[in-house]
Amino acid sequence: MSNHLNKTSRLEHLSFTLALALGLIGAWWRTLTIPSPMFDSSEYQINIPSVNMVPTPNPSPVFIRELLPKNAITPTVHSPTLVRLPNGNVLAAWFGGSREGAKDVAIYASERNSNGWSSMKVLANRKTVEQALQRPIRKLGNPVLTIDKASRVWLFFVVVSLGGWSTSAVAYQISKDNGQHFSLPRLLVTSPVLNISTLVRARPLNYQDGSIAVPMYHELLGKFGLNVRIASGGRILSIAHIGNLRTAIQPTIVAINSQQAIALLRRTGIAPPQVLWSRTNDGGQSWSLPQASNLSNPDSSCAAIRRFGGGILLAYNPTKQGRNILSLARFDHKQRWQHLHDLERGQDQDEFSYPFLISGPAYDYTMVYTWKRRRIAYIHFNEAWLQTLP
Amino acid sequence: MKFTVWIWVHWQVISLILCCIVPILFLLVVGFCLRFNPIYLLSIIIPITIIISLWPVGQLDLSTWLLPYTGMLSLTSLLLIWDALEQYRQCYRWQLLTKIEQCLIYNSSIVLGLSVYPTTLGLFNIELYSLGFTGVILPSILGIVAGIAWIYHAKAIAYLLLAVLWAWLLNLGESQNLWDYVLDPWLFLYSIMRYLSTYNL
Repeated sequence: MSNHLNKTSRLEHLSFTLALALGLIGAWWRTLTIPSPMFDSSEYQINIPSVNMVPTPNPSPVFIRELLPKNAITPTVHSPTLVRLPNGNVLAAWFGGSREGAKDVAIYASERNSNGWSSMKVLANRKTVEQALQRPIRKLGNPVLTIDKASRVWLFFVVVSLGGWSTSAVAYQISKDNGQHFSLPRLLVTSPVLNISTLVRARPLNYQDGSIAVPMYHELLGKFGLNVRIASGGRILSIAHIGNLRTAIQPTIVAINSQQAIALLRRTGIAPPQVLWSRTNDGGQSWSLPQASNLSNPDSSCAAIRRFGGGILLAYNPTKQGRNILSLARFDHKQRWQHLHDLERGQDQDEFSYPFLISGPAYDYTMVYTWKRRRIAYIHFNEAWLQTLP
Repeated sequence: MKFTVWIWVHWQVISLILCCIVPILFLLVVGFCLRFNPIYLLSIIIPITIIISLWPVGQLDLSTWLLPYTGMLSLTSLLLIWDALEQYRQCYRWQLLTKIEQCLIYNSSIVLGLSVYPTTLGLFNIELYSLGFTGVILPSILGIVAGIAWIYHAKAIAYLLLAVLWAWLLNLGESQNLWDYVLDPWLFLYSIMRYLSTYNL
């Protein structure tokens, strides 16, 4: 009997030790197989697009402005995003409904080809997301499109189960056919506190290993930016705070080289109303304390991108109050931000906000933004047009 | 939603019902129940709790409808809930955790919660929660603690930490973060309240 017990005990001891050792080896293996984060060259040498297109600079200035299709069921639209597809078309998405945060708000999309914009279609609505995520969903918002190194289109968006925007979580869907069909939504768990208060707004960046850097932000108690690195399979690899100012949200990240990047942030809450910026030297794993730039900004989202030939191009509201002016600025070689051009200038009550900016293969830039909360505006211009600006 | 997550969510609601509601009913009808073999009682109660957990609420069921409020409970919480089923312990004389193990878990939960939650709320520039996604630090600490618990015959804690490690590796829960398998905010809050009440603070 005693021998039997000893034998059982030894077997239990051996099994536990083996299971623990295997588990630890598995954990170490999982870590060791992850390359250090290095931004993809297409992010900082933007004449090498991430999708297979040959860059062909257009020497003639180009500037096109148009409004996306209107729909009676979405009197209010906001927070547009867009992505250039491998076939050369542009896919734009936004959220729309009777009002921001209403139950009828859905994520809509429209594709622009050589014939113009397609009729809009629903990418996600409250019911389908609720069904897929198996939890109550009160509202949707802030869609963000991006394309990874495998040419898959990712759609990130904010979901709220209880409370307001500051208690949101981020969900995503993936399309393998240029945005024609998307997978069912999946939830990202980014916070240990009931997975609340993570939002998304700005353009993600690709890393060399196929993972993506998704700029997110936190709004509950402290307000700060996050750089969330997500593997191609959807697994979160790391989360880094973009500074610790507690009043800086909605980071937009621009890679300078494989290791360095600048994040521009919206200052929220207390004055002075300025665009903030932070810097990383290790691929987004750690960030400097956000500093104020010389650009005014009235607590509003901005968008930045690496400019052809160096420097950074920024779309932002250059006011201290109100979002009735939308402008472009550049970060020049003197390390100063310089106002370039006003794209929109309206009455005090008008709103031109939430720009989303991408670059194209013909040394061109494409931007979408909220136009008076009623429409989504689209602007296409090129480097030659920027050169004509004083 | 993954099948393992679905099972997890419903299991936690069933556990909560058994832990919080059924004992009250049990006490109310204890005189009546004593005439019966407890196994008959359980054979009635468990199917009822499963039905309650699956009760339709809109296009969801009760368990998934409650998810924004409960979150995904950690394995530690699930173990403590089952350990708390005092009434059933009388029936079957089971004891998952010793008093010392309980005390260790609750006190550790306070220490871990005080370390992790403030950093995720932006009180510091570091983000300890990020250690739970990848990296060798957290799994190594967990392995060492599990080994020490095993050596000192705290087998429940040792098995709990082993289960946490493998559940995380196999991605059985909704989260991909090791912290979420060890700790959850409800466990942290309960541990604090328990600590305060124990020491009459």
